[in-house]
Amino acid sequence: MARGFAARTPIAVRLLLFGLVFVSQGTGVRGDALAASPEERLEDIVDEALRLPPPHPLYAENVKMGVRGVLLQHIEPSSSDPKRLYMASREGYVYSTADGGLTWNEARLIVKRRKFFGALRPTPAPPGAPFSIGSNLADLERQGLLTYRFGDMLKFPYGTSGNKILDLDPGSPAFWPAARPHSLSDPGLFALDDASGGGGGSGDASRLGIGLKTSAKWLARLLRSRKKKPLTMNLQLTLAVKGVEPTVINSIAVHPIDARNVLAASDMGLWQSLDGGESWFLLFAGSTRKERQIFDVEFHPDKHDTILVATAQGLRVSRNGGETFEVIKGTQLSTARTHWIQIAKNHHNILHAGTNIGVFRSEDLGHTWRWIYFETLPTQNHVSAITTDPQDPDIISIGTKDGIFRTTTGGRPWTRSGGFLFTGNWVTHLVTDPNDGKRMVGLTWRMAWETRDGGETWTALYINDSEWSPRDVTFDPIDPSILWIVTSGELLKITSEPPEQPRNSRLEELARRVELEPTLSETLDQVFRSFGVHTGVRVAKRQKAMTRGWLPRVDLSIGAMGTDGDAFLDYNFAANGDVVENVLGRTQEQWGAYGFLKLRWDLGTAVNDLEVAPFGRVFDTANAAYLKLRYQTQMVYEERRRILERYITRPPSDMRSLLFLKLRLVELTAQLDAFTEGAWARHLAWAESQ
Amino acid sequence: MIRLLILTLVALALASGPAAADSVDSGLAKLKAEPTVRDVQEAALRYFRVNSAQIESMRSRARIKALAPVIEFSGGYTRTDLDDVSTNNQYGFSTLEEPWVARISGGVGWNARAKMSINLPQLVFNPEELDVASLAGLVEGLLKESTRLFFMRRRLQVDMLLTPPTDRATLLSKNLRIEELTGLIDAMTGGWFQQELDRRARRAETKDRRAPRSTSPSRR
Repeated sequence: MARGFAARTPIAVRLLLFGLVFVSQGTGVRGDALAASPEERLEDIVDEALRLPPPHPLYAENVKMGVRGVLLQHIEPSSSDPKRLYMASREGYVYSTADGGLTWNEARLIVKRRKFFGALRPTPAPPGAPFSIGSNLADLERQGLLTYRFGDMLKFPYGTSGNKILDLDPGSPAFWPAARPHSLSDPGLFALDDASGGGGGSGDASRLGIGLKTSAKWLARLLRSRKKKPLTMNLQLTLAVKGVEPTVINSIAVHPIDARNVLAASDMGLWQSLDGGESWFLLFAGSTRKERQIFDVEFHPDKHDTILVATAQGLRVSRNGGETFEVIKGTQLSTARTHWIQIAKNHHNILHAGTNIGVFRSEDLGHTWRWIYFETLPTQNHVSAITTDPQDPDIISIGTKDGIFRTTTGGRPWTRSGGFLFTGNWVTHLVTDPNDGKRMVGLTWRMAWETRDGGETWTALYINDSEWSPRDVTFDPIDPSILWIVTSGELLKITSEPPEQPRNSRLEELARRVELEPTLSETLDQVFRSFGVHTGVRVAKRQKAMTRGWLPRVDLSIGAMGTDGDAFLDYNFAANGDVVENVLGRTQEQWGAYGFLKLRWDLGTAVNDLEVAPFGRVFDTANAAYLKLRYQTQMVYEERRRILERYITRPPSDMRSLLFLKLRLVELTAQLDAFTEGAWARHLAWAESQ
Repeated sequence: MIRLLILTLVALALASGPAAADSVDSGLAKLKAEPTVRDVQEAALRYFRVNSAQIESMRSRARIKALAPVIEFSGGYTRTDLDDVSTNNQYGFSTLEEPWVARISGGVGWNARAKMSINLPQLVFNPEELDVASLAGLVEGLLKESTRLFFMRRRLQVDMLLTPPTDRATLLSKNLRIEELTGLIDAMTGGWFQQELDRRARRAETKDRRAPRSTSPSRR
């Protein structure tokens, strides 16, 4: 049976299924097995696992195509259009698809912010009036701007060169991030302290007058009028740099009946698009730094003009489609850092808000709120996810920094779910199957967990074996049998239905095509060589450094010199009373030439030269480029293989999909070809000729 | 009346089917006439002066740099005058006009020097050659962005052909987006892209104008 399954399943799907590991909570080795050898212990583990009931068959398919190398953050399927999905990234990109993920459009939030918003003197006031440039300098360093690079010579900040073509455009969605190595060292990092969006302790000073250089003049005038000392040039520079800063997007909400009406919750306010994510405008800027930072946003499913916004300074509600936002009054929820908003399934008047001081519940569409969960431990109070049973809204499960807690009464008592499994673990997301209240899925660091008995037992649904970490999970609102999991680098569609199988007759053609193409390692090798960052080549060159010691430095000097002088001696003396005068004279001319040859051996270099070591000049730059290229190439190569497989073995039947699939295949091949300086030229020609 | 209307609609539908297909085909053919992605990539690299020939030139210049010596010229010129006067009061030579002994000497001295230094070890290994790799990030960004912009624009163009917008707002929004992407590519290539589009459009126009003349039977 296994062989049959393997034969029917494409390689990509099998690889993905490899990641779907099913283990049961409590599975472990027996105490007496500890004394056995590793091989025996392994056999025991396998035997024990085999005695367990078989898992529910699930299939995962990575449907991320055409999305650049960003850290994905959120997935939001539309509840009115089954083909439309939105994804958000930490870099401010929003991706939308109208064909179920076959092609994605890219748009970017920001980027020209308002001339001025926020308090003139932030709270708490930074040392030094009116600004502290310390945090700005740190920001600049993080962005790599205070380090000198050869390549930086060809980059000009906005408005500095006097040439519109040379200047980077802060409004462009295209250029800025690519010209600079990624600021995050590890794409898999989960707890990214991205304070650049306003979450930093004293970073608000840099938010002032964000935007263009002209803002600096305006702000300087304002400061002078208030008898503050403006920083003039530094301020201009800071503002120019800040004007092109991207914004982290934390969440997205899609209008219940208009799939093109979208809200994006970012670190720089709430944004709205009415054209399916093509263009964005700022809907809610917040009046303070904290209020600007928005973690979650929801449209109410029935009252479409009601928008709920979870900010770092409490919950805000708009009841007029976003024209105005009200502060919740008479409760701690007005100021508590709110992470999650939940509208009870099938009971839409019941709302929950997860904060860093517990959970609040409203049963009248957000007019009044009750505090239903509060613990003394800060980790348990930090509620990052809430979900309710679709049939009984009093059955609530919450994810905290210290595991999952559950109630069946809409309040106390709360009991721990999953026992020690999640104790001390941050459960970042928690969702319930709309058709089955007993089935829930939660996310922890690098893993997705599933329960089918209302939280009694949990099984690992997805164990990440790559550097990606799960970022968001949601059941498809139209077809709940589909579970979407977005990791920092993948979009996984998990279903119990096996994905469409490739046509056997086309598999041979695929195999022949793949056989002709360069392998990933060959491609990587060529990429590194063409970019001059091939470690082997660089090391080989550095090895020559020591042989330098055997060759001398040669200094050859030639010269000529000359003198031309004369001297006279007058003397008077008395001889027998008479004065006698006399004169002696002398002249001299002289010239000569000379030559020196100096040979200087630095024999110490022949013994050891620091340049031989793999580090050294521009090591950081070259190494960053090496890592980035590796990541980019792997991503492009992998996606191209998936598309090639689909294009050859399961070509879409309609012309539009086929054409777009082909375009993407050509695009990725063109990128590989450009990266390898022509190693993929033949295959690019093939793709273009299709 | 209703029958007539239905018949008219059916006739229009039948007539517009092949016409629409022709329009898509001709639209796709026009797209093929535009610069290719390789042209755009090369133009972007060329504009930023980091195409492969320029980078290889930087590397090779770093490699052979040591062959060019450091040459130094120096020189000097001095002039000296010495008036050394002694007086003798005993014999009446007490004034400077009538000195006892006067030593007067003077002259000029000069030198010229040329120095040439050759750093032979640099012929074997010059770390500057490796420094060129610091351009990798820039090149990678340019290639990726130019490719991405090109295909994002192309997808929108194809989309406009296959599913033309039926309302003004969408039409305007999509056309503006295409213009924006065209502008971005144009900026990345230093104005080359738009010039090339215009040039090719003019050429196609000229070709179209000439084509009926050459094939028209009446002109034979």
